[in-house]
Amino acid sequence: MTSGVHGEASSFLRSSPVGGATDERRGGCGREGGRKQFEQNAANLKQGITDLQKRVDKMKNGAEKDRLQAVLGAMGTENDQNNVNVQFGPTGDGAAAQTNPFYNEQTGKLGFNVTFGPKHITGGTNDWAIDAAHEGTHVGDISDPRYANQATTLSPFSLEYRGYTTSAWAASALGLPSLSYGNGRYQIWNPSWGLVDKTLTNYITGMKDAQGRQNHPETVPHNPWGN
Amino acid sequence: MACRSVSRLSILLAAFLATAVAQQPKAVLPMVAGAAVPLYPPLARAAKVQGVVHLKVVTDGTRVVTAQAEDGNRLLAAASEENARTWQFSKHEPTSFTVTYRYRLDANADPNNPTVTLRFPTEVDVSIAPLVLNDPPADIKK
Repeated sequence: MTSGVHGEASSFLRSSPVGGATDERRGGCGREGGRKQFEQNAANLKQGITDLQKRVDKMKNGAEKDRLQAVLGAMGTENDQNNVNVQFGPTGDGAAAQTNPFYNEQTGKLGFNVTFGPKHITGGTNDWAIDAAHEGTHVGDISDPRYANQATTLSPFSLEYRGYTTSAWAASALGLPSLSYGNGRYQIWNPSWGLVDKTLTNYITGMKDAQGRQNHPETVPHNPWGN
Repeated sequence: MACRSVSRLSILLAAFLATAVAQQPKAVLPMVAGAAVPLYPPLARAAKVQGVVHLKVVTDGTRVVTAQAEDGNRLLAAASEENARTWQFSKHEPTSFTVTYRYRLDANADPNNPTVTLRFPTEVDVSIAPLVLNDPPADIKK
């Protein structure tokens, strides 16, 4: 995982981040406010991931632990040159986070720009951890050889279904009382019911693009890969 | 009399040759008898790669001997080559021709299934909705 803003590959441990490393409150390049904000975002993300990793390490073996370990592995660690670039800034559509895969024609390798929208991550480091786990699911899934194969690839619905399943399991691992989206309209997980498949399906299929077009129509099985 | 007949014959011959030259086909393209449906390569879609691939196809009279992309993005070129290799033809003289594959990401297209237009054997258009992975905020209290 490398961090920066919009293609600037900087490290969030570096004492003097590159000028472009700011967030959506950015002023000019290298301004103190932008740098401080960047460092705060990076610290929140790292703390969230560290907390989640500790909880995952203590989980009993099973599908949930395997998935969470896999997605944290997919996100990687700082400066591990795994082609995952973490950025903080505007995401568009009011998203808390987004993953944009890219293809390097020279190397023939796939990479990922993961952008977190700090303005929309208001639930503390647990919120950062859940978003990181969710985006890590996208990174892991699209990197999986099954994704490139037409016969075994995942639909947009299944990609999100798996992403939100991970989010729910991360919330569970972090000991949250529930996990909801859409201002409470969609409670996709709580400790009593576990993952609420119907609510999650309604939530994902209700997603629309900027022009109001449904862009994640349901496909079955919801999760064709199992874990 | 004989002179007039020769003249008429010459005119007819010239007219025939002119017509024959005018009607000469540009190239005799084989008839496609079977082919796998070309789909949008998943990784190209995820990485928002779109574009055109020109593919040189060489046949042996019924099947594709080689299908070689002459340009285009690697992901799209590989998908085009793989698809063209599935083509089969009615029996014909071995030949070669160029196929143009166009891959397009279209927000109005279906998110699950591509729209495919085949103009055999020279043009293939594939479009699908782009993959969007924007994830809305969770409702989490500090």
